[in-house]
Amino acid sequence: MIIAVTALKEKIRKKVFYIVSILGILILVLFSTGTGTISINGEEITDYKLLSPILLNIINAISCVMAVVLSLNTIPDEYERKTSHLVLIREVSQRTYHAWLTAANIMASLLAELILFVSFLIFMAAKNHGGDMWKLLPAFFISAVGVILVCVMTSWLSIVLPKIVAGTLSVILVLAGVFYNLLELLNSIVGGFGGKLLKGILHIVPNLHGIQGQAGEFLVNNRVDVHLLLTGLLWIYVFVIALGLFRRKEV
Amino acid sequence: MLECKNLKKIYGKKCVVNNLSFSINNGEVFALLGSNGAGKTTTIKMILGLTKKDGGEIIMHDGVKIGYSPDTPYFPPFLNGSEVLSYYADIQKIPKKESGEEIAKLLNTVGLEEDKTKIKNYSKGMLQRLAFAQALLGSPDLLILDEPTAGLDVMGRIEIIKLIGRLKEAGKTIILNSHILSDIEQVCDRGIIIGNGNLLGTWDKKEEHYGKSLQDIFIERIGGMRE
Ligand SMILES: Nc1ncnc2c1ncn2[C@@H]1O[C@H](COP(=O)(O)OP(=O)(O)OP(=O)(O)O)[C@@H](O)[C@H]1O
Ligand SMILES: [Mg+2]
Repeated sequence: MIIAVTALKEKIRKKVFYIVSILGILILVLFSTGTGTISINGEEITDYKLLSPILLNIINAISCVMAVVLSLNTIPDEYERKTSHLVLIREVSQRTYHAWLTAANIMASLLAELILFVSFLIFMAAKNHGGDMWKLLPAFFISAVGVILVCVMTSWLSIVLPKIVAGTLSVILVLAGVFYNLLELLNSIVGGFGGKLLKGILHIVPNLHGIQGQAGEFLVNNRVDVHLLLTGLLWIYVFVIALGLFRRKEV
Repeated sequence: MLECKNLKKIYGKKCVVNNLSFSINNGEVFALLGSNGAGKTTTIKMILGLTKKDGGEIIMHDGVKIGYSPDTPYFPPFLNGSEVLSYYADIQKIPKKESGEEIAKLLNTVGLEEDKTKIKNYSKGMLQRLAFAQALLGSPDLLILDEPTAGLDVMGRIEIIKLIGRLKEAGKTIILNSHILSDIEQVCDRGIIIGNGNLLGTWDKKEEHYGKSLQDIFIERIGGMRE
């Protein structure tokens, strides 16, 4: 427990958190004030029902990228600085150690997500949708499934691969996951070898867009695709098992 | 207490510890001697299980509690000395009630008065002292100290060597790795000299050695290797 708490304390000191907060405020200003409206086909979108899923998607995407940034270095840093030595000689197994550090990654990432959600809350209040605010809590948990998925995936990659490779791969997977719907669209258009390749990629990329999109669905349409959420939980389960199975020879 | 048989470690193609055998008795202060890169730290890491050995055997008595002071200590920079110790005490599952008193005592023992200086403002010697204190948590039977006096000032070094002497009197078994041969001579009972991972010689304080100092023996052994 103390391992996770101390690792978390260290993370909160990082600049990343200031960046998240600033981003949150920026999004808020952009959407809440009339100056920054998004237009599609020349038609301005100001309707709350249309705006909020877009805003949520952006928040989800940023949360996922933040989760990569916050999860990538924790475990490799411990080994690089050899703080691992003084923990592992104290009858703490690698499995427990990695689990607590991953827990710290998750807590830090959820905190970043929370900051962004608070900005969304203010947005809702500003758009006179205060009555719907309670819905934000379930929406947060739905988005959290995606964030936690990214955390455990990145944590696992950061143990099994060199830091740079793990980082690159995590970012690619997360971007592909966030734009999953676009890849699907592309897949339906592109044929031949490219199409096959895309199809393969779609199989190994977690559908973050689908999973976290349920937050917006719930908020606006009161609907949730449970199947997609379960897929997300399954991904988390797989990565947690993978984390537990891996053991470093050199600590 | 501890017996190592034919220890072997290979990094890449390089054999950094080669068929190293030695044994350490209860209550002994045992020295690991050798030039930079000889394989002392690697040997220690194999004993601690921090690196996988590529051969040989390590036989340790059951239930021996080990304390370890690393050669390059790193602690979370935003904590202070007593917070670092309570971090490790917590990991070690020492009850909170007991740890508070123990930590204050340990800080005093290593000459770090309990103050609020953050680790990021610690000097090299202070870090080394904290690492030593950390090794003493929970009163271990076997202490493995990798260059505990590196970076300490003259008085600090003398204090630490005295402390090691006191720990020996208290019945602890200690493995000490240091380049300062006069310190070793003062506090250690026996030791081995390693060169390029090979056992080059042994030293025993009780033996005569024909009036030669440890330094003479060391140079003789190491010199023999270089030729
Ligand atoms: N993780 C590693 N990967 C590759 N080589 C290593 C690794 N750790 C140590 N070595 C090599 O093993 C050899 C022995 O290193 P070791 O740290 O055991 O020496 P040492 O006797 O403790 O030296 P010093 O007195 O400088 O502390 C060196 O040649 C070193 O380069
Ligand atoms: Mg060394």
